Amino acid sequence: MSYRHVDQHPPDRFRQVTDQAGHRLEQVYEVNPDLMRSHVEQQLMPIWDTQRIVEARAEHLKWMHRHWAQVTVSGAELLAELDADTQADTATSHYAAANPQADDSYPSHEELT
Amino acid sequence: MTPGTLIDQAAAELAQIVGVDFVDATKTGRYARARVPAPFPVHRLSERLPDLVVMPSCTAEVADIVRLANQLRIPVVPRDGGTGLTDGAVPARGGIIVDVKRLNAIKEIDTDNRTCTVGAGINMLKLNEVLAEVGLIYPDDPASYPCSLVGGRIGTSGWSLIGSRYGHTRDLVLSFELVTPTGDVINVGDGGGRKVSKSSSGYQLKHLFMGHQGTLGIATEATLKLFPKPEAELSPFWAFSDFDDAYRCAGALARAGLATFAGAVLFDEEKVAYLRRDDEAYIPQPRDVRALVCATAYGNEAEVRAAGRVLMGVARDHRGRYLGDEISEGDWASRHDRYATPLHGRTSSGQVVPMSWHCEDAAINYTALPAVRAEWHAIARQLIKSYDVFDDWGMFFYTNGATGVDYLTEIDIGIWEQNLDDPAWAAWVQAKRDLANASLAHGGSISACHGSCREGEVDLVPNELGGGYDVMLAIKRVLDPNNIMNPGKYGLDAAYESAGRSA
Repeated sequence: MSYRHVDQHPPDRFRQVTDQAGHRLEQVYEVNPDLMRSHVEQQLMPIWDTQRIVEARAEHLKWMHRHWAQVTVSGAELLAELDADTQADTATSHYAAANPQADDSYPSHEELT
Repeated sequence: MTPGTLIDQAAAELAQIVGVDFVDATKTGRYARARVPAPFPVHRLSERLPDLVVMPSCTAEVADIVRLANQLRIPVVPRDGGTGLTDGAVPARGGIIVDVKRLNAIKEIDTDNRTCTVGAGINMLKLNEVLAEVGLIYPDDPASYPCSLVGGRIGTSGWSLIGSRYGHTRDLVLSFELVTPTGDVINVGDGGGRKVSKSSSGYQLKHLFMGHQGTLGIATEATLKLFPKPEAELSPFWAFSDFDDAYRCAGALARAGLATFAGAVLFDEEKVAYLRRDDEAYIPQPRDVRALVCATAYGNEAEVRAAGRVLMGVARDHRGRYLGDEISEGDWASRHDRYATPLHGRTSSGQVVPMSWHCEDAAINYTALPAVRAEWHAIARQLIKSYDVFDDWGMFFYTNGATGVDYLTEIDIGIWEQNLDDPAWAAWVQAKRDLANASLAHGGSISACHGSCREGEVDLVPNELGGGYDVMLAIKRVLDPNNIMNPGKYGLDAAYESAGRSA
């Protein structure tokens, strides 16, 4: 296996996202290096090692989900169902408000009185 | 510390009990058993070393060790995972550490009665890997889940992340075998049966021998209540623009009356600011995110889905913004393993420094949370202003039970221990005392989860318990006449001082 600089070293350019953090590799956040000048020395991490840590963490979290339950219910799905129900309710109430005569299965207030 | 000649005598006799390979007097072995997740005061760690470490393999050996210690008047400190946050497993006066990790056998899995009997040195994660093969789970879930042990959970009366659904350690342990400070072996539970969940026979001794921080004996074997492994889990996280909405949302989630509800957690603005430093889930969040709420549910899929729709509706009604599946699921999964988090803090100039995690917890009623939050942060601000070795890492509030009556309330404080000295340590102890006093002033308890053995909080335990503390002293004196079982904890030395005065 040959040594390739690009596999070993992350890009120099640090893209700041907030005053506290940013990234050099996509979606791998790092603390802003400007905040680590007085008391903490930064270590050069090879890209492959960073990726190994990121992948190991994702694998660990996936394992932890299956350790505790067989299925993880999607909150996004539940929210979509809730929103759909709300829209249907709203549409029904708008339709009912716009068409008071539409529902003829129930007696009217006048009929009841 | 115990005199060297006495330690030599004890080491020789302990080797007869457990075998020479399981008595450790090395510096490495002793330092390894003095450390805990938040060791403090770290600049005085050498004062907290044991003289010997012993690793028994069965209850009979533990009983022999304790009898020997009692005869020689040498302190004995039980140690399980050593993950506690109030130094229960740290020797205050040297002596013998009884490390129970070899007591880790699964002795029985009773699928019909849904119980298992295990050695107290087993870890819950490892136990659940075996139980999963028969579709069962032991749902005791501390933040130290991968590394804490069943016996330590008994000694500390542990708190579980999903306790609002399944109960905490006190509810999940049906009975256990205990070696008393005089070396007797007793079984405590509800009544005399090992697998009985409710008995009205005799005093209820199970709770007495839980949460004593190793001062009343050593648990060696436990029979545990098991549940079906959940089909489904749900853990939505929501963002809020202000704390008040988030606070009201957390309360409404807990009061929704859902059987699968396992807990709700509220994170305040300071905690969000802390998470923004290095947590990939929160760094990219909009600036107007100032509080977070999480809810969890476990059970059959149909029940969890139905409950989930209610929870999502409650959060939406309180202006919560769902953070999406990736963040919600990832954050929740990581909470089962919180002890693996690397930590760093900030000086007043904003520079990064390595810091250790220290935390104070309390049990606070829902209605008192905003006031306690304000007072605790004020105490933290004053501390940071005085010494630039402290950092406020924010607060969270976690339902203690299903009805939402009270919350585990925690403030996390970073401490730059390399720069810690006696004056800074004294300021921290005073801050802890102020935090505990605020909890009591609002009708709470000093600790929901960690225990209250450490300097700065332990002196307030008599205030909290009143006449109950006198009963504690009387019990300690009767059960441990020579004060050998984890002496120096919970102020229990007073039990012997008052005996001396009355004699």
